[in-house]
Amino acid sequence: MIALVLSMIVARRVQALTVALLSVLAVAAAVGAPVYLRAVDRAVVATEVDRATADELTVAFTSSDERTVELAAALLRLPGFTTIHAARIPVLGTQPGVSWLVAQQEVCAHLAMTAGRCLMGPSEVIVGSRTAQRLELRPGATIDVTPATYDPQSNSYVPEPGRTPATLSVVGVYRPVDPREPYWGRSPHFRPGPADPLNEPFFTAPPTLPLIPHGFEIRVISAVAEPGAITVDRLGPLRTSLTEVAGQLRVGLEDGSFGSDLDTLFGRIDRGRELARQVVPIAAVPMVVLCWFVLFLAVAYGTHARRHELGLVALRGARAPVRWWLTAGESALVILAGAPVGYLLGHACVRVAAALRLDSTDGTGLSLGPFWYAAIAVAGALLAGTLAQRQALASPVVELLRRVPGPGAAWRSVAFDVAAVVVTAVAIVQLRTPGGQLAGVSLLVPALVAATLAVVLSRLLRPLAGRFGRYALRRGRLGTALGALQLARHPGSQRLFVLLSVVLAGLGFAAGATDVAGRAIVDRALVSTGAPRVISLSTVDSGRLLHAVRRIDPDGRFAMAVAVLPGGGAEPAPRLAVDTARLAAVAEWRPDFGSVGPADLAARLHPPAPEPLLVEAATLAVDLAVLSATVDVDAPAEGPPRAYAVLRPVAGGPPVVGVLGDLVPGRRTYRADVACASGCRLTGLEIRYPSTAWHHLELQVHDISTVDISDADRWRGDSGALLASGGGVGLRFSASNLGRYLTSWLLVADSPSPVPVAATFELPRSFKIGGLDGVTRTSTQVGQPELLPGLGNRGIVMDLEYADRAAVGGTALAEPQVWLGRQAPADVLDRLAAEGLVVVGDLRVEDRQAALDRDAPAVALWFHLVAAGFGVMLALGGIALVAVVDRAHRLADLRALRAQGLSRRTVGTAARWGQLSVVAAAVPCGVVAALAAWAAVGDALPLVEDAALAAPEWPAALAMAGPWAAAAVGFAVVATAAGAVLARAAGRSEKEGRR
Amino acid sequence: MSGLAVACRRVVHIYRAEAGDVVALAGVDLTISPGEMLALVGPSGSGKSTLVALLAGLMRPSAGRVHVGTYDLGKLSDAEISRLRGTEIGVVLQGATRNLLPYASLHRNIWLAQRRAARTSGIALDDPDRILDLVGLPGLGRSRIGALPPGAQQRAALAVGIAAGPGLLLVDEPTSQLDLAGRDEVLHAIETVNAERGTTVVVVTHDAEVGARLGRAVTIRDGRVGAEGRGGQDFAVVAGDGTVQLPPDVLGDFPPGTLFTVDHADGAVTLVAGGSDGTLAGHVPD
Repeated sequence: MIALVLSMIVARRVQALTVALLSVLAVAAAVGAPVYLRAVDRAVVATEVDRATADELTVAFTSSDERTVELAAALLRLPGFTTIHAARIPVLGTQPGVSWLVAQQEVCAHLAMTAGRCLMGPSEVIVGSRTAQRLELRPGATIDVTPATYDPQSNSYVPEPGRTPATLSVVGVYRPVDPREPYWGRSPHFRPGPADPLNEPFFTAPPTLPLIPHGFEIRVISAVAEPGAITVDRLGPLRTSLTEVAGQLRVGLEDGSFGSDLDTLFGRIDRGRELARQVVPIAAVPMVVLCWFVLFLAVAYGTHARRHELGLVALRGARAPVRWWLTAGESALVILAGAPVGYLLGHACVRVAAALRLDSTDGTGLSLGPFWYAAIAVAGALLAGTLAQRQALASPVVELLRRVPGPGAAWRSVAFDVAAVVVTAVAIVQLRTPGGQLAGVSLLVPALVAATLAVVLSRLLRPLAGRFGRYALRRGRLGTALGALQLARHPGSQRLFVLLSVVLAGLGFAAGATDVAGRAIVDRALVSTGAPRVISLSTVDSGRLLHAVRRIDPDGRFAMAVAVLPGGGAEPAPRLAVDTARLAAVAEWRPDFGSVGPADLAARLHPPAPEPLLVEAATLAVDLAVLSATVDVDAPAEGPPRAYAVLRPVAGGPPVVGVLGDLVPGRRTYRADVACASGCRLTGLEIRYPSTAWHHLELQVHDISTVDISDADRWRGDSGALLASGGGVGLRFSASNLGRYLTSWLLVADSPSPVPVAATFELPRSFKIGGLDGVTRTSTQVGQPELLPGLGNRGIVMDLEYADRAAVGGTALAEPQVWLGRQAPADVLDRLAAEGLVVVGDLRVEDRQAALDRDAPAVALWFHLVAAGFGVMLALGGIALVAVVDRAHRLADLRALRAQGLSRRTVGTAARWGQLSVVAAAVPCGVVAALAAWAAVGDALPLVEDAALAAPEWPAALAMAGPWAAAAVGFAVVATAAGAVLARAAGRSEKEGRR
Repeated sequence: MSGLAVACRRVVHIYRAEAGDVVALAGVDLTISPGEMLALVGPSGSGKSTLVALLAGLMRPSAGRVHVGTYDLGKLSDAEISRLRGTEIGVVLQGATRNLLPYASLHRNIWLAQRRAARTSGIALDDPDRILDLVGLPGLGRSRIGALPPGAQQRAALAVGIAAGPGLLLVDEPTSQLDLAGRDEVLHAIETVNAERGTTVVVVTHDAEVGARLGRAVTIRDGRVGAEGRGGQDFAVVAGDGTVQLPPDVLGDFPPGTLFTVDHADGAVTLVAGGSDGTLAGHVPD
């Protein structure tokens, strides 16, 4: 029997190859989807790990108990993670307030020395560059440190009783190589935000701490992810290990705290993978079903041509198994033979696709993972083949042996159409009901809508074609009429119509989805970037930044200074301080940001305020009277409060602090060297108290040299200073530390108070916002846009110039930026460098787009385009297949018509229009089906990961029209070519007949 | 296997067509003895092929009975009829090439035709080479039908028809489009099969010579048995309903509606048109 089936295959090689090819394609499509998903999984994990913060790549256990930490060290073992030990003690003696002495494993490998060398032995310290500058420490200096302990009563650190200072040698000044690398993990060091002692600690070698007798020590065990620690294959074991470790540490060791944000990273990875799993099957399943459908067509046509042969087998009384073998065995063997080729081809195609789209072929290697998908594809192909031959298997022998076949049963019944409509409706309802998700049968909604519409409209095709044919006949247009009547009477026309319509619908849907996703990515890139180009700089003073940017762009046409202040802690959202005068010219503003335009918002954030008070002198003299000074009776005898004059260079830079001197009762002139000959802006007068013991002063400023103090409205106090009166006799104010502060201020009111801010959400009344110096100030919300450039739908923006004026402390920006508009000149980076600004990053919108284009939905959506292209190829093959199968009987028809006297031209027209009419009918159906599918499911498709910004509702018309036109032209060309071949064959047959 | 008897009793068959029902057979009575050879002759559309299709079990009669051997074909299920065709009824379709798979050798075709019988107990099958010898195609087992001349093609079709050793062989137009030599070869093969195996053979043919050669020719006219030729002599046949068809040449002189008196005396039946005085001869009543 096998030999007979094999001889059938050899005898009908072309048919066998066609079926084999379709089997290969079906299996390749079925295998391609899971393999592509596997590659996408790896890409998603790699992308998310690449974007992860140090917090997300580190877990840490902190405790002050040595035994607890030792136990934790034994438990904190995660595969692929390196354990880092660190310890820190609070010390006093290096600066006002506490400092931290930190010993961390392998720290020298992660620090760059700007002076001196790194640690080599005990009793050595290295100091951070900002701290060194502030405390004027250099290599070779020594510091005396006394272990401290926290005193809740005084709310401050005090020396541990009975401890003697330890002398340590400063051997180097450091800066972190990369403050964001996972090594620093969850440590409090080098974080953007207000400077505090932990932000830039004193590092020492681990042997040093035991040499300094101390009672209080904080130990930290960190597990840091090594490169390659978090991969798709390791996710499961890692999650399990993390859960176990966390449980053991949290439950067993209560004298410590366990911190991990790995679950946040896992959550993003899971989300990306889930989105990909929603998007890919939408294209993959229809691709496989299309292959099955075309295979059904191919086998059905082939079986029709073999009817007599099958009748012969039945005539000889062959039993059912033999009849089945000889009917279906040929296609079954070929389908099975194509399966392994398809399996390999699917892997190979995905490998190429991954290399092109994901820049990595990880996960595309040959494996048994997609075996069951391949098996389903093969089973479906076999079923399609069997269904195509069911009539031959069930027909009576006499029907099979008829020379002129009967009209035949409809290839599908009304019940099938009704079932298709019902299934489609159920899938749409499931998706659109509240809580409906793109899962299960809902994933097939686009394909179901397209297929159902095509199937239902195909019922209209033949009657309408018949009507048109008769109309054309009455009009004497014979060629067109014959083509239309061919369409009306040939059952294969309906099948081809359905195939072309579904393919065109799928193509339109994929093109539309890609267009919408592309525009959504552009929107997101623009919103998240904030401006066409964003230059990141190394740490720079805010005033310096403002001054430099205004110098390179005096007209404010293309450059805007921006300070990024992160959220977290007390800050509910990330903040931006921007030079609002340039907001409208530089930032990307979208209509969906809200009703307030950039110019209007800028005006609200930068209301009129008094001009700064400028000092251009080397010395500042303040005629100040201390009218009264009251101190808590229990305060230690530490000396009087001291006054300072704080200024800032006009060109920006760290504060200039001039010491005016200890405040003594009575009136006197206090003088401070300020070195402001080139111009400084007076920030105000600072009073520093020797301790937090309660102090109260009544003061009157009679005069400040070179500064006009006659307008009291140009002055205000902070919470510790109350301006009682002004004008005429100068400034009278009260100053108190209220029993807990160390400073009071009399400030120049050259910026608005409360601070005007705009936020994308409603801020609480009297909301206090952190400034550039980390000091919180009362704010007032002047706008609530939907979105803000650079911040998206969650952020707060304020004016940078006013924030700089309001700052009393250091204004070194950890994340300074310069936003450049579209008119930025080509040499803008050179101009920034000439101003002394160090560029550390250059992000364009296109870069952000490229990054978003690597997100899971975008890479998954690419599969749709591939599937759509695949469908077009299948459709072209389908047109050719129908042309080849129909050729014999159409040729006979046309020859007969020629013999009856029909002109060659008319025969040619009829030959061309036979299939061209199907293409012409399928194009509008495909268009309508695509639009209907989009209307049904377009807004539920996860086209971007971040759903905060609404994606465009409808694709651009041209985005869909272009591919449709190209496909329609392709179909028309093939159909016309097939018709031309047929017409030529009819002419040739006629000549042979005459001879 | 010896030949099967065939009996048709008042067999009627009606085709349903778009233009209306067509009565293909209008009451056929026919008896064929086991091992007999018979030619079915008649003009195109007379119902010969329909009768053969009914004998092959390819269709069911609209009325009447068809017996092949001990089987009443009208009462058998499709599966039973299929089994019969695979074991006891052999069919050779019109057009030799329509009886074989073109891409398979003669051996393979014969093997395929023997599949059903091979699975049926009690049937001894001849070797394919033996069958080919029987029809005069020795040593051509590996050939394909496309490589054979027309006469050999027809004999190859015969070989496939007798492959399962049937008791009844139905052959449709075996000598059409053959020259005299080819025709003789085919008829010789049929005679050999009948002689050696005792197979009952029914041949549908337009060729009167074939009928003469086979010894008995039944003429089907207008869906009924019109006449028979035996031993070179033509006979009118009384149908089951008592009707007799006049030969066509006689019918020309006496059109439908002509009245005859029937005289039956001394074993002879005499039909006198218009009665004994002939006054109504040729009279066509109003």
